[in-house]
Amino acid sequence: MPELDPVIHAESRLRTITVLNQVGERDKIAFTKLRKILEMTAGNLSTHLRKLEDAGYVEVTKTIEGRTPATYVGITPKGRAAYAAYRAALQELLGGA
Amino acid sequence: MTSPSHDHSVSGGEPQEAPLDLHAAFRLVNDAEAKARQELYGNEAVIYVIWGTAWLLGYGTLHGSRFGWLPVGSGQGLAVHGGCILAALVSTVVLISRRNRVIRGHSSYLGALYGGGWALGFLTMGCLGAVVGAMTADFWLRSMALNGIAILIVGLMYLAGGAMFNDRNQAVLGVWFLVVNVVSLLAGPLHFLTVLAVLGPLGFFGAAVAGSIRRRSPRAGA
Repeated sequence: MPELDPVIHAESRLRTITVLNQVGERDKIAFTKLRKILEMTAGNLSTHLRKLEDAGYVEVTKTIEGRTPATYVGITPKGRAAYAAYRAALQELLGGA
Repeated sequence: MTSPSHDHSVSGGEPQEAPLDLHAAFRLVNDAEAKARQELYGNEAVIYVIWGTAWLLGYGTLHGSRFGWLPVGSGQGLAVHGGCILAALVSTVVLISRRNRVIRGHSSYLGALYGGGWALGFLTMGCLGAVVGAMTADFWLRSMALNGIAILIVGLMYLAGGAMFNDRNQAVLGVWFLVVNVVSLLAGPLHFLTVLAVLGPLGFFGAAVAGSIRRRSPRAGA
């Protein structure tokens, strides 16, 4: 039986990494937009991103746009592979649904 | 989608969540993918509908002025056509730039190259317009030649867009416009407007329908 990655298999982190996977490995999304898509508070999203970042699944970049600090988030190749493995495992556990 | 306000409690700085069953996880992934597609890429069908309408009104008015079923002269018809194309262009730029400003990276680079390609293509067409204008005084022959150049650019740019963004819809539209262009040129100065007023909007509306169907597909963009 395949095992589900515990870093990904939690509601908020699963939603987060799903959206980042859609953004793609070669792009980063503004933290504010990610928060809007996920309908999460900034604090909550930051906590889950830290956990994904610790696992090497996402990369968080801080920058300055004009005079305003901005944060961008992107999925890493390791994160993309982990997400693909999670999806495959989920599919298998559900009997190829 | 579950609201974060009622399914989390914070314990020691770490949000605690209810265990996720397999079916809920599957639904959640599909919902999150659909929401991300909607928020990140918008509805491409809207842009095709805008352009289909612009072509229908613009080439339709030119056709009406050519064949006398509208009480407008050829100069007024041309002005309406130009206004329709300009309105569609402004709407497209606004929609795409609003969508792209929250993403940075490779797709921004591709988007800038692609947008620059369209701008340079039509800048070249503007210069060619002056040359063609000096070559013939026949309004409709000149119009056919300039539209031929413009639609060649449109067809090639859609083909390039299809290749750059792995977008079959754009690639098919590119081929469609290149074929429509050949047909309109073969139709000659008398009938090229009929071909463009009918087959041009048909291509855009067809792409809008195909885009909407693809968007509703659960595995779209995966």
